[in-house]
Amino acid sequence: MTRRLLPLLLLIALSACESWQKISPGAVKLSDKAEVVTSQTWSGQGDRDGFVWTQDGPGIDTFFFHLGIKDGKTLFESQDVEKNHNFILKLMNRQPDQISFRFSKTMTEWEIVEFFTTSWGKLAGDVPVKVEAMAPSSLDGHPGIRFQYSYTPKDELRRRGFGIAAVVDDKLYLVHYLGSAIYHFDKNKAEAEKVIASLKIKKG
Amino acid sequence: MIARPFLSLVAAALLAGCVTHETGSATGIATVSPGYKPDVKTDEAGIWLTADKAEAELLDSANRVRDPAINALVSDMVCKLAAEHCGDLRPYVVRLPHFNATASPNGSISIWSGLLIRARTESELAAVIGHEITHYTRRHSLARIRNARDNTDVAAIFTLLGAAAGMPQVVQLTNVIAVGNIQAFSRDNERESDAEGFNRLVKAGYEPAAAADVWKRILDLRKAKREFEYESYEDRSVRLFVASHPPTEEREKSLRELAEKAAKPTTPPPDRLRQALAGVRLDFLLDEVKLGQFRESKALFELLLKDDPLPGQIHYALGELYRKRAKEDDELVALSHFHQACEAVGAPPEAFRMVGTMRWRRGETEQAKEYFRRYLNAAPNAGDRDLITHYLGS
Repeated sequence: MTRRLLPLLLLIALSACESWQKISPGAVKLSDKAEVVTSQTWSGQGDRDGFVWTQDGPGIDTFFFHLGIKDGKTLFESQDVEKNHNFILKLMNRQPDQISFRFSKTMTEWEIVEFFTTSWGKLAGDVPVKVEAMAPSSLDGHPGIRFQYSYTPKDELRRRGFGIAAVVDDKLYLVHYLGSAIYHFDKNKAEAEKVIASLKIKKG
Repeated sequence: MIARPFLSLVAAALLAGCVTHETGSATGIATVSPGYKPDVKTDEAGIWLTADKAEAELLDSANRVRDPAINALVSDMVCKLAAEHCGDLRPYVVRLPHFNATASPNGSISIWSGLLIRARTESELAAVIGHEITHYTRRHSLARIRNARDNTDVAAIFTLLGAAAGMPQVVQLTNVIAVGNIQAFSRDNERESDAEGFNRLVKAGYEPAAAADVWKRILDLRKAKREFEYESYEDRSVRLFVASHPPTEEREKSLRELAEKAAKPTTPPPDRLRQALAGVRLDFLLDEVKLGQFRESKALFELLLKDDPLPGQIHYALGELYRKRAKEDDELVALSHFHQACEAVGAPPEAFRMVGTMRWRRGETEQAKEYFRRYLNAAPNAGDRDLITHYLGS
């Protein structure tokens, strides 16, 4: 039971840092360095890991904006084993046998996608995330990679998703949308494409 | 002041005496007969109903491995090991990257992918399956549930008495004793499954030493894992009291002693495991990598590499392990493993892509392109063909 609930609990924990807010159609400023335009209404919230938008509920259909992950950082701060390790045990040089999957500014496109799928699979409870396709693409004009993926977490509801990632000023910008394969992915995919296409990144 | 602690001790002694740690027939629960189904009016029928529901979910689960070869092998092994119970057992291979197998009271058995890559021979896998079959035949699930119910009932009575007498220490003590009893009962069930599972292993013509060998391997990997790691909760002092299984060292020793007394098989035991795993093992190895437990996975892969018929897969997995850790010289070590994978039997196409990728990053464009071409030759329908073509055209 715990294993089945873990991804959900993690998602709730991720979304628990700040309250949800209504995202109205129009231009939306995500941060000082990024903004998008949407034609639909979403529920959204942001925290140190980025921004999450949803229409029917997190995990059912979800938009994730990871904006400016620095060299050496994990996709989610909770996945940084060394940083979150008990400091007393750290002083005793006792480390858990656990790698932190970290972004590197020298990563190639495959490695960026692989960094994402590994981190995401870990978050979903050690489930395999399958990359279905990869192709050259761009994010606000910056050369990047487009990828499609699918996975089935412990709740047995298959998810499909796609995303675009690019490295700008040595930082990773990765936006992806996912939804249940049977309904939600197709429902909002076209809008998700438009939102990603509208992303503006301010350099510097 | 003296009377209350004394009364607590008396209460604790009475409670401890209420529950025995006997197992098997001594529990009053008979071993199942072939074709056994519980009476619908019993608590056991309810347990079966829950297990039936879980099995129905497992049948449709995305995690269930549907590869025909590995499923055919485990089905055959279960029949050999279970003998007259063959028709009552239904094994499932599940893609879960940890060392484990489970048996449900209704006869469904789950064999996890993490076990399949850690067992080095069919006999080792048979040792674990034989252990699980015993949980089924001895109806351990029912025994444990009844044991837990008895213990918690008694604890509830003493809790009430303690509360009525204004003695909170009795309440705490009775609960602690109940937990200890329940877990001790579980450990005895495991010991029984080890012993009877061993008999099944030998009777089916497998290697007797395999049962101890598999536990020795798990111990070795655990040691490699915690070389600099703090002792985990279950591995320290509390484990003897609350652990659901006996210590691994004890299990290995007991099984080794049984193996020394057992007759060797008259004909060489079958060993079809590696061949049956061929279609799915790379996925299982990469699931292991994605767990991120560098030290344990490295120890496992290096062990497999000693005599593996598909070293290309192991080198690729090792390369991925180092690449993902990405510390100091890890990139060079990873590149070396990817190169070895490319030239070894069983090389996955992705090994060529990884060499190409890493060479590209180092500015070695022509070498990178050579490996990208080799990748496309090995995987002409790859989902990232467009990206590769883009690189080749650069």
